[in-house]
Amino acid sequence: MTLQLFGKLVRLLLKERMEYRADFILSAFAQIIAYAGDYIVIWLFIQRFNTIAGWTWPEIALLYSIGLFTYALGASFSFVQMRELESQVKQGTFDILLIKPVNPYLYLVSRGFNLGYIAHILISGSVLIWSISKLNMQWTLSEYIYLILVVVSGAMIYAGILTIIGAVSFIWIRTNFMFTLFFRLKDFIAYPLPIFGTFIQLLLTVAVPLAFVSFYPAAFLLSNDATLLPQWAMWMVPLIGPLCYWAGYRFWMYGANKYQGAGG
Amino acid sequence: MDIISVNDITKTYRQYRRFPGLIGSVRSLFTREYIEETAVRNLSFSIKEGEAVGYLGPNGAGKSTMIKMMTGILVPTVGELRVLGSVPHQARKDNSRQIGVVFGQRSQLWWDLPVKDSFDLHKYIYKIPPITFEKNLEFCVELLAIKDFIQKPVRQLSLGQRMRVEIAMALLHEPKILFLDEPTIGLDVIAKDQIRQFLRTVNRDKRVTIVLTTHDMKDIEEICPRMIVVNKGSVVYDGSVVELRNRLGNERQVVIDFREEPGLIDMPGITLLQEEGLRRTYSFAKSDASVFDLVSRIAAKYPVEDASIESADIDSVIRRLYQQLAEADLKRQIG
Repeated sequence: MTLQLFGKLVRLLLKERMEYRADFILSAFAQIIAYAGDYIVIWLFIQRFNTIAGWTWPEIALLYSIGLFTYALGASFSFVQMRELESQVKQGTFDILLIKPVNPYLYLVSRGFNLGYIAHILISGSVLIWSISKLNMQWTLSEYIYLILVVVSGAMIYAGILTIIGAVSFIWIRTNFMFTLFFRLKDFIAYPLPIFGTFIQLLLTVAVPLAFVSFYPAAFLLSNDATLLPQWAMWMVPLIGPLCYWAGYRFWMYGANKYQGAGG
Repeated sequence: MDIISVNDITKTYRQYRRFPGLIGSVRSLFTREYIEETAVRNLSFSIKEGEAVGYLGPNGAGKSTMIKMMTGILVPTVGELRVLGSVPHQARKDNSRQIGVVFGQRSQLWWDLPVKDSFDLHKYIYKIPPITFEKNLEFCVELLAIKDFIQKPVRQLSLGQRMRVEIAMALLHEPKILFLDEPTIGLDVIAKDQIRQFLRTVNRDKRVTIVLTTHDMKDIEEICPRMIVVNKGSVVYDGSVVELRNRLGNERQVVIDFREEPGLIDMPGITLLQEEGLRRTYSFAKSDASVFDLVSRIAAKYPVEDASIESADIDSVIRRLYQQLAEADLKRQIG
C-alpha cells in the first residue's frame, strides 16, 4: 500500500462519482445546507445568552468548525468503510480483501475513501477561516503549526474510534448501536466542555477522547479555561490522535485475525 | 510435485449466540455463549502441479471453507496445509500474487467503471510488468471474446460477460493456481460452454493448476479429469470422473409407456423404480444382456407403446452418491 496506489484509487473513485455527477453535487449541496442549519442553531442560541460558558460566537464557531473539519477528514477514511464492514463480513465480500497482496486495512479504508465529505470540508473550512479572522488573534507560526497538528490528530481520533467500532463486526457482528452511541457522544463536543457535569467531562476526556478533537485545542488556542487539563499539557494534545489511531488499527487487525480463525 | 497438500485439516467455527435489540446487543457482549460447528473434518488430499480438480459436494459440505483455507482467507483450526510450499495465511501476501481467485457470487470489479479500469488497478496492485500484462490481456481478450465490452461499465454487462471478465482478471498476473468457487452459477448454456472451454485451455496449454467448486457436473466432466467429493466435511470420493461413473453408473434406466396395464412384469435383471399411471421406469443392470434385448423381450410379451433408454449421466451418478451418503448417515443415526 503506497501513496501512489492511494492516488490511483482516488482517481478511480472520482471517475466513479462523476458517473453520477448530479447526485454527487446535489447531495454535497444538501449537506452544506444541513450543516449551515447547525451553525444557525448555535448562533441563535448565543444571540439569546450572549456567551456559552464564557465562549463568544466566533469562539464557538471556531470550536465547532475544528470538530466538523476533523470529522470530515477522519470519517472520509473510516465511517462508511467501517459501517459497511458488518454487511461485508456477513455477505462474504470482505474475503476479497484478503486475497489481494495488500494490507487489508489500508486497502479497505483507501478503497472506500469517501469524497462526499468535501461538503463538510467546504463549510467548516470557510467558517474556520472566518472565525480566526474575526477573533483577530495575534498568532505566531507556532499557533498555526499547532492548529495543523490538532486537525490531523483530531481526524485520527475520529478514524481510530470508528475503526474500533468497525472491528467489532469481526467478533460480534452487530455494530449499529455502537455507531448510534458514537454520534450521540459526538454531539456533545459542539459545545464547550465546562457546560457539562464532571461525569461527561471525564467520559469525553478519558473513555472516548472526543474532547481532544476540538475542545482542548480550541481552549488552548483561545486561552480559555480548559477545565481538566493544565496549560502545559497543550502540546501533548496532538499525540492523542496517533495513539487512538494506532489502537484502532491494532484492534482492527486483531479482529481480522479472529475472523480468519488465527490465534484463538 | 504437490502444489497443494492438505493434511488432516479440521475447521470449526464458533457461532456466538446473539440476542435481538439494543439490550440484546449489550447482553451479547457479556454472555459469550457459543456453538461449535465443524465445517471441515480431518480432510486430506494433495494436488499436483498442472492438475484440474473439481471439488464438489452437497450444500454445506464445507467446499467454500476449504477454498477459503487454501487461498489464505481462513486459517485451519487443526492440521497442516501447504500451498506452493508455504502456509497460505502466513504467506498471504506472497501467495496471493501466485494464485488467482474467482468467486461466482462476489464480484471483484468496480461496478460503475469500465472493465479496463479494474484491470489496470489489478496490474498495479499485483505489480505486473507491462509486457506480461499486455500479453496476458491479449490472450484472455481473444479466447474469452471480451473485446467488445472491455470499455463498458461493469454494471452494463450480462452475468455471462461479467463472469468472463472476472476470470480474465484473475489470470492477468499469471497465477500458478486458479481457484474458482462456483464460476458457472446462474449462467446460460453458451456462457457456460465458453468458460469451460477457456478453463480447459488455460489448464492444458498454460499449465495453470485449477481447483473449482461447482454444482454443475458438466463443469467437472469438461474441465476436470479428477474430482474430489466431500460430504459433511470429509472426503467421500477422490478419483477420476470415469471411475466414479463406472462404479456407480453401471445401470441404465428405461422408461416404458404401456398401452394398457401390463400387470407385474417378471423379467430377470430389471427393477421397477417408479410407477406413474401407465408409465414405468425400470433400471437395468448393464452387465446382463443388452438393454435393447430386454426392451424387445418386454415388448414381445406386453403391450408397449413407447420406450426410451436413458443412460446414467454424471448428474444421476452424483445424485446416487449423495443418496448413498444420506442413507449411510441415517443408518448411523439409527444404529
